[in-house]
Amino acid sequence: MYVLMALGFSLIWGISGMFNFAHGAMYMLGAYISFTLISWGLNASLSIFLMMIIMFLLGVLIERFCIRPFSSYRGTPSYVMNCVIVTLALAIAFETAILLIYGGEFKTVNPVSPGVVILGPFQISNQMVYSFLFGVLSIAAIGLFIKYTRVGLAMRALAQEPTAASMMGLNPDAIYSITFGISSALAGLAGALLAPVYSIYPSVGWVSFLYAFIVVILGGLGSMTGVIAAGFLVGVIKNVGTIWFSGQWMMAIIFGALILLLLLRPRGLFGTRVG
Amino acid sequence: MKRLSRPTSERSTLALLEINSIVVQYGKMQALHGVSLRVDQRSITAVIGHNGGGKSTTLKAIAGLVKVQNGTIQFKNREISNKAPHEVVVEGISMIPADRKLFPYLNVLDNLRMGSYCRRAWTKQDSNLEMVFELFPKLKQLQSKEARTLSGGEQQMLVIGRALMSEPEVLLMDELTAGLAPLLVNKVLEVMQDIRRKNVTILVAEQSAAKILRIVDNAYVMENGQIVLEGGSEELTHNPLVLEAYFRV
Repeated sequence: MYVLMALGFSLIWGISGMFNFAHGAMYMLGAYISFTLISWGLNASLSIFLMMIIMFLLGVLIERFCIRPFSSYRGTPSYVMNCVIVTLALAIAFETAILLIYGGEFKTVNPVSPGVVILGPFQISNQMVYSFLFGVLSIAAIGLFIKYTRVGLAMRALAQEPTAASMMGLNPDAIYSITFGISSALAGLAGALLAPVYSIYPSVGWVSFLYAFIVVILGGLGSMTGVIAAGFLVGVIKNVGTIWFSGQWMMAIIFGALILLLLLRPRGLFGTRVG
Repeated sequence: MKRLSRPTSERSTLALLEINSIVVQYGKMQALHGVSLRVDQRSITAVIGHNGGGKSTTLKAIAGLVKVQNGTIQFKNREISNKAPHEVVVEGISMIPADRKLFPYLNVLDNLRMGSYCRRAWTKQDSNLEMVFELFPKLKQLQSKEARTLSGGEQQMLVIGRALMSEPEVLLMDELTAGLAPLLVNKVLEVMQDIRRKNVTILVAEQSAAKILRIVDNAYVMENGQIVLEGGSEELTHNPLVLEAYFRV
């Protein structure tokens, strides 16, 4: 699931060249939106699907009104700072809004289907299986989209040579919007899928955001496969690690591993560009 | 401006592209001081001159890559000055920049496919690909190689092929022969004539006048942001000023 978050984050970083500090908020919004849709009686999978569409549109709107006005600064260091500030502000705004609407207490979300599946010596909850499948399918879908469609090709081209891309007839603004939309939808999906596991509260997005950041750096900026691989790696390490160490130690260990890796390989595991 | 050719009004073919007194400024520095030129349909027109004279800037102005402060750029009698680069491509003008700007991590095929990005060209992608592979058989072999791994000459072929994928009516070429071995330069000149046979009009900026003047229909000499000489290839090749300044290769 870290893969989903990281993928969205690295899409925006790789293609638009900016840090989306509201990414965690997207996760949180996704969780709350699908929670609300389900509580209105809508079927779970349908809710999640609908939520993704809503998140996509939200992402596009954010790009259009909050990011695009700064587009004349693209490429300069102040652009990144600007975006960080704007998205951070958005994140806080969203969090406060949700706080006001839903209250700050932890809400537990019912799993899609209770019960477990026995797989050899392991007991996996149905919810986990459901999340896993949904997640993997989404990742595969995005991968195929980027590789084979016209827009996917445009995204890759834009990331590598923005000037040349516009010389091919590509309107960069449109692609940036779509990128933001996809990224938000993915984050929302992660939020919705993990909601039953961790329960939801307005600040729930930040931990995931941190993990997304770690995974993207670990996997290397500019590499989709790297991000996916790193995501799985982090997920595995975290889950396996908690068997031996307690939660607090986990973060320290993960960060430690990250620092070690960066010292040895500044590009990350699969990175194609530095920084 | 000295005109050596027959006056403009006598030329029978319609000007496809016409620039009138454009002024371009880079911050405080004025790059173009009122440049006017015309490009006829199905012609190969060259802008020659020493580096820094404004040739690239002129092409970039047409392509929408730099802002024009004054003057007009007309394509098929429509005003296109200060349109965004992607809009200019949709109009039918494609540019090959001096530094090529290939997509380094995309393979040859993807680079070519990106060339036909605009809707008009995307639907004809397959037939255009065939056309490009016919023109450059080597590219077909190199299809799945990443663009950054290609040699200089191969990259040159790719960049021309990519521009052709957008089905342009006018192709702007900025310093295409720079840094190429003589054999490759000749190949590029051949290709330009092939392209012209396919009904594509070419406007090329070149520093080395000698070779390009052999194949052009019309040329403009540019110095210090202004056109100083204009004429057909015959006249310019025998003009003493041109010979002195530009033929000392």
